Amino acid sequence: MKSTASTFRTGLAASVLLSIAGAASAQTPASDEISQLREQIRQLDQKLRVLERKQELKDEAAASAPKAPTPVAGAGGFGITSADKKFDLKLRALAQFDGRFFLDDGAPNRNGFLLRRVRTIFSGTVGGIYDFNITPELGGGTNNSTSVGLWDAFIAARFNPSFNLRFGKFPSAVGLEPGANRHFIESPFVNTLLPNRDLGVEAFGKVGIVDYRLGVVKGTANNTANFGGASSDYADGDFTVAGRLSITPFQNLDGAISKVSVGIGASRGNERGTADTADTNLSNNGLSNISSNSQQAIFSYGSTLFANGTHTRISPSIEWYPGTPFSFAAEYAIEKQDIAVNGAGLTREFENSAWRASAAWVLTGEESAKAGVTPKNAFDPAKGTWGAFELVGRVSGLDLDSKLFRSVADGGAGLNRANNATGAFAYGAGLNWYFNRNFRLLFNVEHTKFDNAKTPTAQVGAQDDELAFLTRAHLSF
Amino acid sequence: MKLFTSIIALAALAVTAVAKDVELLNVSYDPTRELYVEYNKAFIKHWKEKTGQTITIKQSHGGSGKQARSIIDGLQADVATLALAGDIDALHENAKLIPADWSTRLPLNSAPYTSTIVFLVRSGNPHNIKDWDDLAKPGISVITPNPKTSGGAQWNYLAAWEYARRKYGSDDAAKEFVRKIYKNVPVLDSGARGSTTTFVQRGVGDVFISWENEAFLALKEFGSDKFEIIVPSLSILAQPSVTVVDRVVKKKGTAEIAKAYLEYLYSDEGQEIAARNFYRPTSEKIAAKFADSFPKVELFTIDDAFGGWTKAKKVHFSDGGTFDQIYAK
Repeated sequence: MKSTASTFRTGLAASVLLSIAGAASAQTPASDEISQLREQIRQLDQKLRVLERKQELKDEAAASAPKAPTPVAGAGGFGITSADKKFDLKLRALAQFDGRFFLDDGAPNRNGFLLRRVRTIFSGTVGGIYDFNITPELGGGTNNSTSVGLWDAFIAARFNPSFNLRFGKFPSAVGLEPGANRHFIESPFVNTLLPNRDLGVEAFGKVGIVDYRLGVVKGTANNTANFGGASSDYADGDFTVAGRLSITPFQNLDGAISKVSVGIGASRGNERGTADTADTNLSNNGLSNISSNSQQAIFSYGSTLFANGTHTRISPSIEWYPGTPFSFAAEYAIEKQDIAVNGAGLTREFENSAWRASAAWVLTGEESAKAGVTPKNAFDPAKGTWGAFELVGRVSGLDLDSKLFRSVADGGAGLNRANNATGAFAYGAGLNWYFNRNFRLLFNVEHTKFDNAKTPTAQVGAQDDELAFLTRAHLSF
Repeated sequence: MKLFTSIIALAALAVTAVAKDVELLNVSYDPTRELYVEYNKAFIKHWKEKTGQTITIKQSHGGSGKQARSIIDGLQADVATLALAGDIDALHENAKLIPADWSTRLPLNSAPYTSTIVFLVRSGNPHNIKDWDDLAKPGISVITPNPKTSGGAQWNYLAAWEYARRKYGSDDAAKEFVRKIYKNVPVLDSGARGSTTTFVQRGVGDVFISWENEAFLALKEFGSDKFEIIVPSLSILAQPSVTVVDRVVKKKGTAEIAKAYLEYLYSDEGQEIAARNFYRPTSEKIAAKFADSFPKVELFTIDDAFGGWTKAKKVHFSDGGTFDQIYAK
């Protein structure tokens, strides 16, 4: 603007001067005529300078004016961010509608539909470094029932990349994927031996090739949502220390290998419950019963056993999301827990373990990322595009301590192996159909072979080997 | 529990690590940039020698009224060094950031240096500007900032008003006189420095009603062959005022340094720095040393002519005041 106006001003002055020169050559002008022309030039010049300056001031005012917050609406959710980016509010959601179909197994009437997860996620940043997350669970279905409560609620203070603090209720650091499995609809056996959400304070950060999380938490039984209530998921006698180290040893190398991440999570703390009055999961005993990968009960600690001492968990893992259509993850978990087997006077340590390995291949060539798959071409039959298709496979196993099934007199816990699976091995495959970044349909078939049980009186999921077909409609933003 | 304690200790360490050294923020008005650049260096050195403490001082400049509003709105100023006492009064009246008697805490009503209002014209004074009357003539382009945002502009406005009232005998006549001057103003900048840019660098206008120090600075920086200073027959004693912002220094723990910072303005070194930057020193000793640097002019005070800043602001610069009445867009 300024340069244009300056050029114009120079041109204008030159034109008028040429007029004067022309007039001077044509005839001898009166001196007052020249003066008048000079004055006209001066006045025009001033007018242009004033216009330029006013525009300049207008531009300066616009540049220094407070910027309005920016509203955002997109595949990543809805939100609003202050002009300085220090204040941010996001509204996201997760909805999962599942269909479960059990084929060729012993217990009937378990097919059905359920709202597996219905969450509205409020998250954001206050003051530039203080993040928050409030996630109510409005679905929380397991077996044709719902469980409403507060799924996550935490504050994270980001001081610098190597040291940050998180307070509140958040995903446990011990497992690789607490309460979930990226490749499959439902979590594998490993998650049944590890905590899901916990309450506490945690330091976290990244130092070189190491990501760490280390915290003191209230301590929780395995694989629970901790929605609270009269029954206690936190049958603890003390705090629990929990953490996880993840290392990307080749991150400085080129290529897919740079994405290999190995890790180990662990927790240790005292957990104490009391004997249940009934054989219900997680009332007061501080012990979580165990379900199959299709969420069917296969093992129960019964009404007399309860947590009564140290609970230690260790879970090494490896995952590889190399930025290609292929991805892979594997983990192992072992837990040792002191359990009162005959009232508080007799406590024994029991050791359970589980493992899984899962992989995916995106048939349509997109990246199989940890967050899922973003189709190159979203589902749109009118344009002849069908989204992305991903094949997945998983094997997993469970091995419960054989002492659990010995008599108390024989050094065990006195549980009946005819009523409980003592171990399991599952394998399955699936197809994940990504319509776009937000919506997908998932189809899993998984066969599980149980050790022992397989009787009509056994836990419902362990009455026979299991062949399950699980489906899910998933929406997230 | 040991681990828990360790984590808390680590958190405390992290918070400590991000804490900064002692830092003062001086929120000032437009033309004092150069003055406080030099003064801050001197005070940092003085404070280091006196206490061994290293401090940093940040400056913020803008139209005086605008700067006062920024402080009221939350700008964390340890000290305010504004163009006029009325803008500092606003810190008490609107936000109780300072006590009502703030001006009594330092000598000379907390005005460590003074200035006045003069005219800056282009070399040769082509429009033969000699006094205020010339600014009201048709065809004369006058540059002055907006009195709604600039302290300097308020001094300009009141100086013109008082000149006309004395010469023509009434407030009504003065109002008409000032109306004629503002009719000649093509651009209203928000601060005095902006008006300097308009007149000196952008070449707009025939005469610039200017702080004396700003006019001298223009001569120094752009050459006395390009501009001339015209001293009117009557002008105003401009008394830029200073204060510690009590609520801020209490929160930041900088009360002692902030107080010392302002007190040092009255020292010989502080007064010399003010004089070198074309502000009239209040110290008789330093004023005598720089007597030849400042022209003689008949000056009146805001208290004598307008009954103080509170009254002057209400009558002339509040919403619906005389300025709003004469400068209808």
